Amino acid sequence: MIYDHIIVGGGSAGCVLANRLSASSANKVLLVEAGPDTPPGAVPDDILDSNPARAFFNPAYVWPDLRVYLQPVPHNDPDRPPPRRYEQARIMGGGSTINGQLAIRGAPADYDAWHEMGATGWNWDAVLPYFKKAERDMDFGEPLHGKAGPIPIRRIFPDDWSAFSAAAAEAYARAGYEYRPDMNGAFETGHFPVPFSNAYDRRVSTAIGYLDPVTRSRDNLIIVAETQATGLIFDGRRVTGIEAISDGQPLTFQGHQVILSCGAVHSPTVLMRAGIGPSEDLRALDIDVVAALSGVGRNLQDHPAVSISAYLEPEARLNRAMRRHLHVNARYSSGHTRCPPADMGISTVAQSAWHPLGWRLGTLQVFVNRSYSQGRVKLTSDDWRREPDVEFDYLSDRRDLDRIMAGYRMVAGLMTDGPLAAVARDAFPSSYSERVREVGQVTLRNRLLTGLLGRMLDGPAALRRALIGAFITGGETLAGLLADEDALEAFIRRNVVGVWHVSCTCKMGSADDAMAVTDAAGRVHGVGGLRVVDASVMPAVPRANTNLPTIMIAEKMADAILAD
Amino acid sequence: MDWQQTYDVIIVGGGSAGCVLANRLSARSATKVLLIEAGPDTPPGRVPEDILDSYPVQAFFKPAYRWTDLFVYLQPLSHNAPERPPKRQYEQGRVMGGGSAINGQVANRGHPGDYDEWQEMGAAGWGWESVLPYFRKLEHDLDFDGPTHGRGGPLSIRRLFPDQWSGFIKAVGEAYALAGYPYRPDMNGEHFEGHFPIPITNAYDRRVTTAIAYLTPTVRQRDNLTILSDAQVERVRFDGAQVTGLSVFHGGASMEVRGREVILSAGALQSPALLMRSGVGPPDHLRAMGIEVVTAAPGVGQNLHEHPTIAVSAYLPGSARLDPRTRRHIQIQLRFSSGHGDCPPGDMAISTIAKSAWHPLGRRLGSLQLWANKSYSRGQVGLASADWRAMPEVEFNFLADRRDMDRLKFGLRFLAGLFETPPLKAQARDPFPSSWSPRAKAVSTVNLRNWVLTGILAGMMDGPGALRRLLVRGLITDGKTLSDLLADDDAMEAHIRDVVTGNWHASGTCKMGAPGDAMAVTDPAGRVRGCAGLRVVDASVMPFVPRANTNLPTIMIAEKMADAILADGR
Repeated sequence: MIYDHIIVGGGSAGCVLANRLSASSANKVLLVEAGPDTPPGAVPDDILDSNPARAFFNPAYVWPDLRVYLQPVPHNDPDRPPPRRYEQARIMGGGSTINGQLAIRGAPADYDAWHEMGATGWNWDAVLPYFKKAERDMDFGEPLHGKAGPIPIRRIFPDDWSAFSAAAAEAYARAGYEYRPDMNGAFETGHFPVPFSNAYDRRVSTAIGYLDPVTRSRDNLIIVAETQATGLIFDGRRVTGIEAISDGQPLTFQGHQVILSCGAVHSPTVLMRAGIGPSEDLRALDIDVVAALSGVGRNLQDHPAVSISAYLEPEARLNRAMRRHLHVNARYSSGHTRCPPADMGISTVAQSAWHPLGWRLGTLQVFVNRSYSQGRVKLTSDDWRREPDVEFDYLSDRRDLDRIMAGYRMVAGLMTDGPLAAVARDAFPSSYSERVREVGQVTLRNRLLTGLLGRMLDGPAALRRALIGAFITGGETLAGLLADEDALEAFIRRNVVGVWHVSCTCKMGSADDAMAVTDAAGRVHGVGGLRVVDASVMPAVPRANTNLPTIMIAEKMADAILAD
Repeated sequence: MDWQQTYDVIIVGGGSAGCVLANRLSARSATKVLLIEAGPDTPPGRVPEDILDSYPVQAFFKPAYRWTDLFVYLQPLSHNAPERPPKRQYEQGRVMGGGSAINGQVANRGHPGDYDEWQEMGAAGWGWESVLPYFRKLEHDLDFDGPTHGRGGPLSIRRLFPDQWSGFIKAVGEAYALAGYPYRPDMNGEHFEGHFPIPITNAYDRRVTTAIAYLTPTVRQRDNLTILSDAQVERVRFDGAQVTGLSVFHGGASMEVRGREVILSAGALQSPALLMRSGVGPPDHLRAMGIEVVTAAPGVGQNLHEHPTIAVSAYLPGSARLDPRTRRHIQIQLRFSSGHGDCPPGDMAISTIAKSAWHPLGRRLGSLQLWANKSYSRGQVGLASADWRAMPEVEFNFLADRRDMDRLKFGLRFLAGLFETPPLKAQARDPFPSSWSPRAKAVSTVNLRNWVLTGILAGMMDGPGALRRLLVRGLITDGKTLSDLLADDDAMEAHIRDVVTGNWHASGTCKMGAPGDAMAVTDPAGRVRGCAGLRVVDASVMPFVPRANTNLPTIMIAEKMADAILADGR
């Protein structure tokens, strides 16, 4: 059997492609996913939950060995911190199965910029029809919204916000960022009910939305889960299939076209392993160069973030019946002269973790939404079992550092003054540390441990402050950081994290752009029968959580592929 | 709630129809709309788990969601007989979303011929070609698209396809196919005989009521829409025959609300009762109740339709039972023909139930529930008292029309035959006649006692076959066996009269019709004849019950009438 299209990766993009390309019954389509499938009627509860924490922390759903460097530190520096885990999904639906479910489009100017950067035909007016095609907006309709697409999108409106969310909203409004109901239709600054890919209090992944029972019953669509692509098969500079491994058995699949939808870490990894990438790097690993493309793995982007948390008065905590913990986002302008307006974001976290401790903590996370720092994905070995080296180099661009420091001060001000101060006490610098990760796993031990600590926090304020210092911050205080610019910078550099918006490592662009990897239809420059369709092709990360833009990309490229 | 306001439209009943109307009529910001529901509201983010459950039985048995005092006569009454049979409880939704919040979630359309016949009977503009756009408008079909389906409507509809069927359901599917009724995937697009995955108002394993689908957060935020729950309408108020508003009991007091137009969407039992209580109905009956006649309307409360239903259940071996992870239990429906000379094809239906109750015993029983989908017997709704607190008098007169009895007898034999086919014999043992008897209902209330009781019985059922048969006869069927009934025509007829139930498809009691039809209550736009500013929009207006579970047709009616009301310029 020779497939017309082999899609590698059943994630946010791959499931879309599998649906759209197999809609034409003449197309024989194969979808290969490394992780488990989530077929209709057998989607695990932790995935369906509106609160994403249980799925996110389920080790069965992520690449177990992936480690990354967050800060730019020289390789030979003896103090280089050890690499950190970075969650990338390995399950049908990909990121849309384990992410925070946020469904945000980004600013029109982001896409107009893509077009100007060489991704011809990706301007806002050209991408909007695909954002609409993907969605079933449960709240808003024409002209900006779709009602008939596979991914339902809804919001939680102010009536149902927790007291912490409501106080944060009030604080945003007082700071000049007024309430606007439609984050995907109003692109200025303000605070917004967060759109998320969810209906009837259930997550809807792309596996659920696009690989519905009727789509799965198509004779011309084959879905193979728990099968990892290990390499590409070439005839000269034309791809003719893939090698894969399933249950220890090597397999090959022949196809007229192979589409990589493995995400911005693994798509460039597959390319480089197959000899498509920066030639010096490939030669250093004794990999034969099929196509020298300097941009593969470069231009890595994400949204750097830092947070402040506080103890919530009982009435400010999330109602037990409410699963969803993210209600309201703010979008504001740093005012930095070399940055566009609405370049910053704040996520309001009404419950900071699933456990009794997290339930007592509210968090404001500030992130640079138009970011400039760039990192890279680099092969360490030609062995398909080995994860690549990933260096994010967060804050390596001075603009990112300046804005996140100013943002930190702003969020500290919001948290410790006015409406938030009335419901959130003893604000402290927080971070997504390895310890937080450990405690975030759903286990009885963690429940007991955090239950005990949680109850102690409810005691006298002095005890609470002592406990926060001893068990959470390691003694660092907000006041201490705010009083000392150097201490603040050091703290932020140490604690900055990404928000899993890894993107841009195989950017679209014209063939005369040496760093461009694909053309505007995802075709890899210089190689036949090979495309990349996922967040890798973004020229720059948009001012959005990347899941919805990735789905949009897959919708648009599916149309381009069908038109071929 | 502003009690001084004069509303443009007051909708009485936030059920399957009322929620649709509240959404569509308030879309025009100049129209001030008030929606009144007797039961509790289910606002976004606060919908109880039992309502959201794909397995509808917990919501169905919850007294807080229904009219608990409603008891009805199922069988025809002989008025000169000294003893009347006992009344039976009849569940009608009293919660936002109405029937769509407690029903079996079944979402089928019925046959095109049903609507063409409505039109022939005087409901001008209600032929299939005219109603199809509204069936499409209301739905977001997650499975099918194209000219017969809608994508982008408020109400999600999906199906469980064969992959997810239980062992029992698969075996029944094979038995249906052996009987000449093949598998067809799209019950709402393929109007032929066959067995179908049943369309349900459900998505992502959650029930979607009309309250959830139509009263969304953004609809509720409209300044011109007011929702008043826990408020029971006492009667409509008139100046002459012109509606001026209504009185409503809320928070322990009777209140008056002014309105230019009142729309009754209280269901086929409560809408005619409200009309009669307000002076619109058969004049003799109104006078007998001491109610002043506003408008003589002899058809009010007449023409009550339902789908008479019987069932056969059987013990399921372990392999045939529903996977505990699958909540949804009614998975397929058969559409077939009795072949009765006076009846159209596709006049019969069987609902195929993978577990018969929530409890351990129910999990071990599969059921085939059969009904006459084109039914002919008619009952009536009258008042017991002029007091708004009193429930109406309801007589269904099941099987009063001989064709209904004949076809249920045919149906019982057909069911027995299915259980004799090899696939079903392998997956279902010891079939027996069953029914929603008061005892079955009592044991289906969710509590620990019932769980323990049925758990013990279930354990015994798993024992030797002879013991099982003894238990079934002794504790469930009161000695009746299927073979006894098949061998004796009179016994079968007596059994069917004894156990026949409805399907909660009450309809037809304020039927639409042509001006010359004295029994028609409303015109094709739901306007009550002889009154100004009064409409009925719910299953009451159906000229007869279609070959469908009535929820989706009721929603269609509300969509279509909303369009007609908006076109009237309000």
